[in-house]
Amino acid sequence: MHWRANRCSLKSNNIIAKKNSGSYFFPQQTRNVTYTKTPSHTTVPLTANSSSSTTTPPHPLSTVSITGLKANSSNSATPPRPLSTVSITGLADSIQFTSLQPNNRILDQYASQPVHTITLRQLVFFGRNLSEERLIQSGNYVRTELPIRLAHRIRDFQNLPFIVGTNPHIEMVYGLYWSAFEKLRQFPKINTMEDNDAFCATVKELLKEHLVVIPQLAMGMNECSDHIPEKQINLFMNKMLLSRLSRRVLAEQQIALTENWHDPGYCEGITNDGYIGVVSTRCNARDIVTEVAKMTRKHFQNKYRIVPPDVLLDGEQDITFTYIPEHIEYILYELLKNSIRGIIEKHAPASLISDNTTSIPKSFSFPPILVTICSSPTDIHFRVSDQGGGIPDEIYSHIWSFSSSHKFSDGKKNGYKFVNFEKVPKMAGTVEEQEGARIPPLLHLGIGLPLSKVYTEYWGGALKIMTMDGYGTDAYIRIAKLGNREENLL
Amino acid sequence: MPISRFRFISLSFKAPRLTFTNTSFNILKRDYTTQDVISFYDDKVTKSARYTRSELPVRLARRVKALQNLPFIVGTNPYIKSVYRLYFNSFEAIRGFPEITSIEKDAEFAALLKETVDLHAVNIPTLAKGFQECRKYMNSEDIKFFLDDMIRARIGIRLIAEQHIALYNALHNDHDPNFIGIINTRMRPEKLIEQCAKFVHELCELHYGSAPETIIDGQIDTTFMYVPVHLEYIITEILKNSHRATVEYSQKINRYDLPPIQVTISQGKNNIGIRVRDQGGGVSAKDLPSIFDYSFTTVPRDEHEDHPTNNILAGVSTMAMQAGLGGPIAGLGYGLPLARNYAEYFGGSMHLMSLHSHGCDVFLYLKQIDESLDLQI
Repeated sequence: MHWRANRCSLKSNNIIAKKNSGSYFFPQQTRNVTYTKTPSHTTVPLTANSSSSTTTPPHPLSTVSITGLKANSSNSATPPRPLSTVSITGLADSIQFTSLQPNNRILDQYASQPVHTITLRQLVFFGRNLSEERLIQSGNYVRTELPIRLAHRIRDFQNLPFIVGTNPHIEMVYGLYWSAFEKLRQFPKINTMEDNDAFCATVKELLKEHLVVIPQLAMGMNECSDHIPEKQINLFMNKMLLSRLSRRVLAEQQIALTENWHDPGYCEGITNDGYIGVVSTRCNARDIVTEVAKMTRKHFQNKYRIVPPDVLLDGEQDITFTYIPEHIEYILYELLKNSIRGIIEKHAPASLISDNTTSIPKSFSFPPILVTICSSPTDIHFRVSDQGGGIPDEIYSHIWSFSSSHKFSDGKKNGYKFVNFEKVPKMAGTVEEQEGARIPPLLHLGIGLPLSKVYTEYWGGALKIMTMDGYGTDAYIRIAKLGNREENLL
Repeated sequence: MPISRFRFISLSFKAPRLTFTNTSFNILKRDYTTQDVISFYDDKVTKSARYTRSELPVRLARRVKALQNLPFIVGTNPYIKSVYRLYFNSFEAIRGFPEITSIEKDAEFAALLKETVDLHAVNIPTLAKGFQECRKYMNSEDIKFFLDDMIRARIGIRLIAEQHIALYNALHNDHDPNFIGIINTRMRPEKLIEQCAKFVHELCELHYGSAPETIIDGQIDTTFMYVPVHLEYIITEILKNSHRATVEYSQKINRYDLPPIQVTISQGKNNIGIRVRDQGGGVSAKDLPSIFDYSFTTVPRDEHEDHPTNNILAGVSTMAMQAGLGGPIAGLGYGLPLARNYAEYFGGSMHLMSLHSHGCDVFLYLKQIDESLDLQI
């Protein structure tokens, strides 16, 4: 029944499309008819009211009949959902046609609401003196905040040029966001701990589902780089990644607090090792750098069987502060990986061929990497200084870019920037997944630096790279020490 | 001057030579020998002299005009007035110089240029003092705009004048084959930095009683084509700041051994990099946005306004510092913005990264001056 309904609707879709424009391959002109779809395979019942919201998704046929047209014309304020030529021909994928026109109005409601940003201090404060009431309160904050942030991003997707929006990777992420938005906004208000548990379970599922977002976006950008200007890509990707990070922080914090609450050994707001949710009150600069240095060096040692360059610490190192350790670890991890690779490439490139064991004399030693740590009353600074040969001008001007529209003359980087994401279907953006070998740590993904910048700038920090072509590079990280900066969501 | 005339002249020459098209600087051949200098002569008149004689009055006139456009009260400040008079007189002198048709005239012209350059040597410190006194009559943005303009133009005027003087001297005396006028085709930054470091070290020791060492590392065998005087000025300014910061910060935190200043040289595909790294405590976040402003200095006010006459040593050291390139070791607030102007003149750049309570890194990127460099000067 549903298949035939589909087919009928498709036919009438085609007819309508033809009537309104010359062809349906340039749907910008067919603004009166918008096809909508969801990536899920759920049937839209023809009569029942499937959602608790006030709108009923109408009969698919009626979408593209007069009702649909009317709805469309009244919706001139919102930009039309990008048309998908793939969907028309891809009937075998059994893609459902539902009308999201009324839902677009709901999206408007959410997208017009401002985002309530939070500071690290507030996050810590909420979690420090936990009580049932507090947990429920923060749960409700997350429950209302996540759909708003998702709505803003969905709106960004809708504002993309058509050719980018129909890219299958981008489309997939768009669909994921829509389904997450629907799920979250329809979640009832949390009143009891059981509600909170259910909410955390939902959010956990969503987090897992959305692990594909970074690789998909990267591959999508790869393919679309020639079609939109670099500035637009960078702005879009930065907003996406910042927002994604913020949603994950909120979600993971809520999940962690809930788990702590249920943990029988937990009696106060702080666990034994100083954690409040995902925030650690005992981040020690020196320990973090030493740990990360150990991890990165080990990988290079294992893979290439050489003694990688030392990482020396300098400056005022014994600084303890409150932060989300995952973030700093990731940034330092990526920077150190780049530095070590640069040094080896410059001073003993032959050793990068995996099976090469004999060409490096035992006494060979690489110039060390110097990490300087210091602090001001408001910030903590890290400087990673290496002698890895520097970054040539043509690459330096694009190190923060998500665009692959420039191909490098160097044979190594032929092809697109994020080409290796084909081997990496899911990515969380943490050190833990690389250490746990879910992502090979030494695989050059091309997203390390831009993602590190997102992590630093999220809480109002900064990441700058200065290079001396032919000698080496210096990276400067600045992060806030007091935790009183608002989230930076661009 | 119409461009076409010079294009014609430059095309008619087959011998390799230094030409200035109307506003761009073009070296056509690297290996510059005395033979080539001689080939300049056409009826015993150097093309360089002719170009200089016609170009300089234009630029000097523009400077006079700019000074005339200053607010009246600023213009009547004695320091600024003296600079204005200097420019006006030089303009008259060079404009009034008869056409160069013989070797004697050429010699006279070179002598006149030398005299002019010497007279204008302390323009910037004089202007600096003048603007310090006129701080309240002009807003800092206007001052910045005026000074940027003035300094860039001054660099250009000096470049043309000194280039001609040097070419003239090269023709008539022995000259270093590596030099085309004031441009050194094979300049070694390491040697130059060493000399500057020695000079600043002595200055610092004189003023503070102790001074940190300077270590030069990186690709020290780098050589490139540049104007040594410019680099000397920039490096001296940066080193002055580093030395002062190191000594004063070490005093503040009671650190007895002064950490050395590390200067690293690199040679990349498109430019030369020089990084000066010190452990002088860095620049506070509050001051960081204004370090490249004119007249911004972290030296306390009374230190440079009153000259202590009861302390002989202090007086001597102040005078010694005044004798240095462009001014005292610190206090006028012109060092960094001036150095940046010099760096940017030939398409380079200068950046400062600060690590609070540790030190500063100053990055200097310079481009080689060769055929491929096509800049308006």
